[in-house]
Amino acid sequence: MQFEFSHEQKLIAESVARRFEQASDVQGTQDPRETIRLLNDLGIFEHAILDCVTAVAVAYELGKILAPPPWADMMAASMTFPTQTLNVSALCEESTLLAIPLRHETSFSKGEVTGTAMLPVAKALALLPSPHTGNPGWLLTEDIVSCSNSARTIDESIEIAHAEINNPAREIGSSSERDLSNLRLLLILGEMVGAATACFEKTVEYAKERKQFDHEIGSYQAIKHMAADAAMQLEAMRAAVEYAAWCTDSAQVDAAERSAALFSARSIVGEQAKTIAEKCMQMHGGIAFTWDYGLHRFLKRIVFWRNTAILPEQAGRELAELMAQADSVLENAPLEAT
Amino acid sequence: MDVAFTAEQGAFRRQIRSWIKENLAPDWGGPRFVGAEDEAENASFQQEWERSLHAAGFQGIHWPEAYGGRGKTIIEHLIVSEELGRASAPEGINTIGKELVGPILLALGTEEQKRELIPRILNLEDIWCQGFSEPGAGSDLAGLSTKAVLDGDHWVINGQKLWTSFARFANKCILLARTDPTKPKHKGLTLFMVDMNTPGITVRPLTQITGRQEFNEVFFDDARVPANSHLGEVDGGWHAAVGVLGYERATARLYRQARFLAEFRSLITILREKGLLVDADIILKSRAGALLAELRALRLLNLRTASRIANGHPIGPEASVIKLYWSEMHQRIMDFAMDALPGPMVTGDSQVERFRFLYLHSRAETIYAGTSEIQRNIIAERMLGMPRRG
Repeated sequence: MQFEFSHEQKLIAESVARRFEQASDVQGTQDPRETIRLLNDLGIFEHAILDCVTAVAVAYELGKILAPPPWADMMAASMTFPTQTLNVSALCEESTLLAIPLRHETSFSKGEVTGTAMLPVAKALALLPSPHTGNPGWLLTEDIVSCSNSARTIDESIEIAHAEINNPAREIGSSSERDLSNLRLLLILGEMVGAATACFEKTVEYAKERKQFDHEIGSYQAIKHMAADAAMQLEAMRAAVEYAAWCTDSAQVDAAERSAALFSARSIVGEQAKTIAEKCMQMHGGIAFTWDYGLHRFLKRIVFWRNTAILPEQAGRELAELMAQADSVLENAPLEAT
Repeated sequence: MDVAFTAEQGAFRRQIRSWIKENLAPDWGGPRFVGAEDEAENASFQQEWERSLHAAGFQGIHWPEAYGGRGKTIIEHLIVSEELGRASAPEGINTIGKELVGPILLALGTEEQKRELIPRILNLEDIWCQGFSEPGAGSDLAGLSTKAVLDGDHWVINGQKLWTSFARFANKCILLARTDPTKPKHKGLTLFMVDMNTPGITVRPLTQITGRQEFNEVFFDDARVPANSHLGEVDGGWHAAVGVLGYERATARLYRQARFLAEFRSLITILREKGLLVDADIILKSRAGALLAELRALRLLNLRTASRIANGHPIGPEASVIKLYWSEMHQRIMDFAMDALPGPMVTGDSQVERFRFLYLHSRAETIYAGTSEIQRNIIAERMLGMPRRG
């Protein structure tokens, strides 16, 4: 048993962190095309290059710097589809974005997809669950989807597109065992954990420096205890997401356990990442409320994903449903190597 | 990353699971969840259970074979703990011996002490109690005032200990006492191994919130113990106690998660039988799911700790994370029971008696073995490096 990132997994995540540190303007501009270019330079979008656990380690780093979508959609797609079906790396080279709708209502006939979709970014190819085959079949629009109407979100660095889709599309099967939707959720969970981690680290440093009543505020138990709770929640979040990723990678884990692991991670991260970011604001005091200090960006990114993709209450209900269907979910998984 | 157990570890799990099935009364974990109300009867029942576990080779799993242990790793210890928890097996009477004294002896005892005392813990010849807390020293343990003064070839002990579980049935006490009042409070303390039959020791039981009497007060009035009764260095007791406590906090109670999960299973069954948790109960369902997610996360924290130890990494303040997590989560599960079964939880509904008991019992869990507030201080100061004051 080795329940932590391997040396290689850490190295890959560190190389991503370093690459983005060197290109420091990315954090300022939040250009999604620049983000995917840098990731592509590192080979991240090559099919089958990443296992899910490594992908989560990378997602942590991208969450820390608040990289804008749709890198998670593209990473999940590159991990799911073989290159001959969908070459994500080639799309990156052309600066073409690929996005999975947050919501959609579409139909497909005569090679054309029509309907509406809400995408996490404007001007992208849309990857839609196929109405013919259901999951895991997917439709890829062949033209860039033009957005009829884009809208700001609570997170200023994410502009969603309400798109009228009327495009040629081709149906692409999912030849991989991986489930694209779940993989995308896993990466978003990783991103949220990364964002919460960075937000918390910034807060702990602040509490060690900021003085009130002649002492560092971090020396007061009111602050210490809030920070300790956040540290505890972060540990639980990391364990839940990394385990869900490992379950996705591991052949010996059955489908019920894999689903339970993902529902659990959604329930825990969805609730706790938001709580951590809120506590971090409280521990910072007034400066947290200012635009320029930037702490608000972590909170906004976390609640954006919480409310559009992760939906912790729904995940809790789904886990309760699963309990009713599979008794094994109410037992510790044996996790025995085959 | 690899979270899997090996095939051998899987086989070991099946072995203990089938042993428990054959040896534990079938109604355990259901209508019977604690021993008899008569504490003496309960104590002999607990001893019998622990002896049978030892005879079957399921005690001292990760302790060295030279001292009567099984010489396996922390992972096998985790497996046994999980299986005992899964069956809601009776809690032993010698938990202080196994969870506190044994590890301290293994870390700090002389070779002679280890050879003599470790086997006696495992075979229950010695039952230990813990003389740490006092009326004036709970969270501020280092402020304790029980004194030990060297008089010729004996230490003379005077003072009072409180919340001392199992003291009535213990023949040994691991005692923390002040040996040098002139030193700063953390530095003048020594750990002693005291025979409970020593003249001058009086034990008085305390009735708890649940109506049971595991707690005791222990009085020391000129109790004389041999000069070589100390464990570790004289005046080095704080270091000894704290160093081992951290590790123990992380590893000793690994069975809890599986036990809580077993309770949760049983609670879900009751809710279903009462027609609850159906489609319309959106809020209850969502809460049930969220609690299961937390129970699963607790297991992952345990697996991570075991994996770190198995791979040779030290365990420090992260042990406090686990203590804080399980103790508060267990109370949340009982809150859920309170909300889902409001009437039955406070009236005589025999089906939920276990949860009524556990609701009350769980009040202690955020207090004993370091309160939640102390755990938070440890996490903030030792894990996050936040400044100490005063």
